[in-house]
Amino acid sequence: MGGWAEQLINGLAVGAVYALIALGYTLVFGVLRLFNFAHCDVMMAGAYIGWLCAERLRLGLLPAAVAAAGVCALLGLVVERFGYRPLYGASGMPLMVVALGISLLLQYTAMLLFGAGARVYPFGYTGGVVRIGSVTLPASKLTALLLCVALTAGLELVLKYTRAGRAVRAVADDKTAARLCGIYENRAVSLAFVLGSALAGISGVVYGSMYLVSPLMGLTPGLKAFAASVIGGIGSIPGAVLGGLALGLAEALAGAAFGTATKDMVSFVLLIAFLLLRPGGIMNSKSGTGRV
Amino acid sequence: MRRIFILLLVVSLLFTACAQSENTLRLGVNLELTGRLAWYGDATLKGIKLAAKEVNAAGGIRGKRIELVVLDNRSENAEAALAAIRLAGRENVKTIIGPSTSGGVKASLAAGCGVPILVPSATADDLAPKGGADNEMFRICYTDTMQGKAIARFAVKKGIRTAAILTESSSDYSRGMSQVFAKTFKALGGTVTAQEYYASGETDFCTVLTKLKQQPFDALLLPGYYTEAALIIRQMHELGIKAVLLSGDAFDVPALDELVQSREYLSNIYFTDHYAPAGKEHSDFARSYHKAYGEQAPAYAALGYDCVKLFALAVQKTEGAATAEIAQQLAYTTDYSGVTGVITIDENHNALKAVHIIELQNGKRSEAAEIEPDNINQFTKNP
Repeated sequence: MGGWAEQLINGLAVGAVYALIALGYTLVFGVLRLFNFAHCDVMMAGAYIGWLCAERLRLGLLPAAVAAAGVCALLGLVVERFGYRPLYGASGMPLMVVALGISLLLQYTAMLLFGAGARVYPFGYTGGVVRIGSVTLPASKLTALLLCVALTAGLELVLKYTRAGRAVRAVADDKTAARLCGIYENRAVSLAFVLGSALAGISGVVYGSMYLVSPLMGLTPGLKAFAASVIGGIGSIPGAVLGGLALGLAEALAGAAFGTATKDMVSFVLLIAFLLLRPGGIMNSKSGTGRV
Repeated sequence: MRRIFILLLVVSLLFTACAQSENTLRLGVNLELTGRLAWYGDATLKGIKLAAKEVNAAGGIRGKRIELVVLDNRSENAEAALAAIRLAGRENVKTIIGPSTSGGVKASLAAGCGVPILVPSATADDLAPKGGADNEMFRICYTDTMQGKAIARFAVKKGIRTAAILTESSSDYSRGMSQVFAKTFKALGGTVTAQEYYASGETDFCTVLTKLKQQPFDALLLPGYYTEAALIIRQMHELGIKAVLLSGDAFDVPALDELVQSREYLSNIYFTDHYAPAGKEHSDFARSYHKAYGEQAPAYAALGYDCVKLFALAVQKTEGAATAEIAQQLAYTTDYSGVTGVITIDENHNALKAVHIIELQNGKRSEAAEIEPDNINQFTKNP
């Protein structure tokens, strides 16, 4: 039956976007043990940057995504340097409050700059339809899937085979040991923010061009990505991707089987179930220990 | 000396305050000016301001100017109730116009402020909990029963035999119109292939659309607000669903066109509306609106305009402009020829009005039909 194939691919594509955002959560959690709640608003900023590139400069999807990644990386760096760094060494709570503050700051700045109303990418930006046999799919969904695979692979390469990437993993593994080996901890943390925010920027362009751009657009996908990173195993890169895809699939299949009203319920029931039964998520066997 | 000076200042302030309330009529406005339905409130407010300016320019009502007290309910029902309470209490207004959505009006009525509430565009049938002659609500537009019946009748006349329904689960307007449509459409010989729901604020509708797609249909009834409707229209075409789209008065927004963007996608859409811009009876209004704002007047603006004019007329007939008197005069409204048609307030404080059906083809609007209230009811009694 054609319906189920379409639902599957659609669920995977939505999951891919969750996964892209979840990667950012997981990277920062790995090095700082902090849920960076401002992350989904960095994604929103990326969506607006991409929208400006597309609407004003008439750039294509890839250049717009690169521009958004660049600006968001810078934004992530600034947030880390001036928002979080003064508080390192403090307990988790002040950091969490700062994260919420930065989140609100970004949302209302966007509202001031662009107004509260929704914006839309130029028509046909990622539009178009792909037909495989009897299955009809929006091209934007396939783009999201491909981008997710490519970016995850790229991130793995950076973290495994570059010096700076290995430093990030070392800090995530054991801060004290990393410092004893002569790794600059702060630099590694900055790099985690830069990488995560660049990914958020790209996912912002993908999400924004698929749907609409608005100052509060980050909330829902942000929560879903948070759930995805916990389900996959917070702190783990393959976990974030698996969690995102699993969540997207679960939502689509539940929606198809029991009605779309159950979609959000399914994601958060899954989140609670994992927190209760397997807090380490799919990838971590021990509870709660994160590895990048 | 200083004390006397302060005393004088206070007394003079008191006098100016009194003078103000003597010479003006405070008219409260409780609308969606920000948030997800901001466009509706914004358009309604433009019409209200235009009418108030006209009334004041013509010397006011028995020498009193209308003073608008505008509050934003941020498109949220709880905020709408708070705004109504504040307008009736602290702001001491004579009458409140709005909110524009059914949920907002229900919340405001539940707050029980004792001030007449003029309802420009909320269409849910059960706005006032009990109905009857003592409720505070006065509605100047038709109800979801009327627009649901009208669009079902129009669809059958156009040769549509099967229809699917996609309803916003949390909207009174969407649920009400879907129900009436389904009932009438079936009574007229049509078949409803599927009934699905979505939540407000959702962005991805591929799951529900793919589900609908499995059973072919001629038309999709989509009584939703513009943000979600725009995404649904786009995703419908991306999934290759080619069906006529039917909807209600919430589709009369340029924001819908902006968010959908493609002219090709803005075709084969039919929706009910309160007014057709092409008609003659409102050409004066259309002209002055265009002069004031540089754009064509949407139905929401016309409804806001009519509310103010009705308020002015009711106050004109009272002796001392007390709220109870105003309510009584509003209830007596008979055959008032407004911009949006002839308005008669019935015993439940609703207006029986003609339903216009607007056609969208390649992004262009034109009137496809006008159905008189008598015909709507007659037709459904004997299909």
